[in-house]
Amino acid sequence: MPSYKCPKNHESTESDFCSVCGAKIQGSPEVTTAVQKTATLTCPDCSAPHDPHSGNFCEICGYNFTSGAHGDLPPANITPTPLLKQEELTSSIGEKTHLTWAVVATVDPSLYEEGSPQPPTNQAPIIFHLEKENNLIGRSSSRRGIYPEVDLDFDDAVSHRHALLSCQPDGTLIVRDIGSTNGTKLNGVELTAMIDAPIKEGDELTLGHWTRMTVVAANS
Amino acid sequence: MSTQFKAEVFQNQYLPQGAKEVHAIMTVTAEGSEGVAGTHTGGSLFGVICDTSGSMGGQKIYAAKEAMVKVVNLLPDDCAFFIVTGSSSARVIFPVSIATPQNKERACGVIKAGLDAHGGTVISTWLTEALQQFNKMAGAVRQALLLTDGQNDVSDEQQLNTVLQACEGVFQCDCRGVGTDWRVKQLQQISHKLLGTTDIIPNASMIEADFRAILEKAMSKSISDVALRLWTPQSARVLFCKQVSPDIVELTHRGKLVKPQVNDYPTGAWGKSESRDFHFCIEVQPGNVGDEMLAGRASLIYTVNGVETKVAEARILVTWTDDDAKSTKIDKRVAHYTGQAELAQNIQEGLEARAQGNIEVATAKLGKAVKIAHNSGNESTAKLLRTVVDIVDAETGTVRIKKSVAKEDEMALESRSTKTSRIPKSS
Repeated sequence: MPSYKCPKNHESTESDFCSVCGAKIQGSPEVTTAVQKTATLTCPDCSAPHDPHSGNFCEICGYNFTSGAHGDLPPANITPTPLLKQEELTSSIGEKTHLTWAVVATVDPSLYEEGSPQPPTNQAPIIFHLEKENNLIGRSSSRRGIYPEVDLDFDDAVSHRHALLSCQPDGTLIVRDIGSTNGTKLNGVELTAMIDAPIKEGDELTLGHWTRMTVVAANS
Repeated sequence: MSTQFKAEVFQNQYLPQGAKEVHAIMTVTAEGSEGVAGTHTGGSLFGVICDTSGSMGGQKIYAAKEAMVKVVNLLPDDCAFFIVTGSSSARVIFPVSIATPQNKERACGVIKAGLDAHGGTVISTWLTEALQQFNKMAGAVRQALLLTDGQNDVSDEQQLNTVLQACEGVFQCDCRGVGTDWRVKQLQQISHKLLGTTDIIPNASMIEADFRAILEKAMSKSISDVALRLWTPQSARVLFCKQVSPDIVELTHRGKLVKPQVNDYPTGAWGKSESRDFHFCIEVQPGNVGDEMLAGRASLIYTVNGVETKVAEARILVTWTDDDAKSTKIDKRVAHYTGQAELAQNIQEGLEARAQGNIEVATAKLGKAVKIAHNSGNESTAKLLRTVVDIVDAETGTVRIKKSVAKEDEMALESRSTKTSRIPKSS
C-alpha cells in the first residue's frame, strides 16, 4: 500500500489528507513526480514548495516545519495552490516547453508619489532571469539571511520578502504577493496577498516607491 | 453495478480561531439504471407480522386479514415472503416461500381460515419467530411489516430489548399501529432499532392502502445492508451523526468501530432513486489560522458475500481563518436541518408537557414548533400541528392549545414529528 508523509510526520494511506490526523498533505505525489523531485512539502504559511532536504525552514517566509512556528509573515488566510489536474500534467510532460522567464526591473519616476524619496536617476534597468522554480522578490538582508532572487535593494518600500514568482510545471508563470507591506500591482491592479495570479509576457508589476517590472519570455 | 451512489457535502468549512466543532450535511443519492435488477442477487424477503391479540377482535382483524390477502397478491413472483401472527405467543402461519401463484393462493387460504383474535400482546415472541424466518434467507433484502393495535405486555420490556438486539442488522421493520390504544414510543423503539418507520393507521379501513404503500417501498429496495462509514482524525470526537432526511434517525450511538478512527453506522436497504441527508457534528483539535485539515471522510459501504464495496465518498473539511466574514457564515443546509431537529424536539416536549397538563410549557414548545415548521416550509408537519393547536400567528409562533384534541391526531403528530422537509429548491 502506498504511504504518504503528512506534515506531522504520520504515515498516511491517503494521498490528500493524512489518514491519521487529517492534516492536509501538501504537494500530492502526482505533482512531485512531474517536477522530478522526491518529496516536497508546501509551506502552510506562504504555500511555497519546500524540499525537506533543504532544512527545517521555509526558504520564502521562514516557517518552521518542525515546530510549526511562523516566520516573518503574519499567518494569513491561505488559499492553497490549486493542484494541477492530472491531464494537464501529463500533457505538459509530453511536450516539454523550453520557455524561460525573466523580469526587467526599472525605476519609473512617474510612479513617484508624495512622501516617497526622490527616485534615483542613475539606476539602470536590471534583468533577472528566473532560473529557479520559485523566485523571491524582495530586498536582501544579511541580518535576516534573506537573499532574494529578484533583489530590489534600491527601493526601500519593497518588503524584504515581498512576492513570489513561480514557474509552473506547465511552463506558465504565476505571481503571488506573500503579504508585503506596501502591496503589489499587476497591470495597475492591486494583488490580493496569498492569491496566485497568472502572468504572461508583457505584464507589468509595480511595487515599492517607483519600481516597475516587466515580464519577458525567452526561448532557451 | 446498477445502482450508482452520489455523495455531496454541504458545509461552511471555515472556523474561527480556537473553534473545534465542525458541522456538515451530506446528501446521498442512489440512482438506479433501468433494466438491471440491482446488484443484489439474493432476492428479497418480505415478512408480515400481524397482531392477533384479543383486542384485535372484530373489525380490526377482519380489515387486517383483507389487507394481508391484498398484500400477498401484490407480491412480485420472484420475491419470498412469510407470515407470522402473534398474541401472547407467535405462530408462523406461512413459512418462507417464494411468491408463486400457488403459494400465494395457499397463503390467502391460511389467512382467511386460521386467524382469530385472542390472547395478550408479547411482541418479543413475534419478533423471535420472524427472526428465525429471516435467518433462512440471509442474502436477501430483508424487510418486515409489523401491525399491532395495543400496548406490549409490561413484563415483556426486558425480553423485547434482548430480541431487538438480536434482530438488529438481520431485518428492517416498519411498524403500524391501528387505532389509538398503542403507544407511539413503544413502536418507535422497535422501528428505530430496526431502521423502519412508525405510523398510525387511525381507522381499520385504511390498513390496506397503508400496507400497499409499505410493500411498494419495500420492493423498490435493491441494495441491503448499506453502512455509512465515517473516518475521523485521531483525537477527534463524533458529537453526533444522524440521518436528517427524509426523517430524523439518531445514529450517533449505533456506530460500530471497524478499526481505530473508523465507525460504521447502519442505514439499511436503499432503493433506486432514493435520496437521504445526514448531519455530522465532529469535534476536532483546533488548529492555527490558515491550517486546513480533514475532519471526516464519509463513505457508503455495502457488503455482498463478505466483500465490501465503497460506493460513494465525501470529505468534510475544516480551515481556520481570522476572517470573520467567512467563519461566521452558517451553511444554509446545516441551519435548515438544525431547525428541523429543533422542530421535532419541540413537538415531542410540547406533547409531553400537554399530557402532563403543563399548558404553559406546551404552548411555548408547540408555538416554537409552529414557527419553525412555517419558516422552513415543512407543510406536512405544520398541518399536523394545526390539529393540536390553534394558530394565531405562525410567523411569531403564537398559538393556543386546543381544548379537545382527537387522540389519533395527537398520535399522528407524535409519530411523524421526526419527518423533515428538504430545503426548498428555489432558495
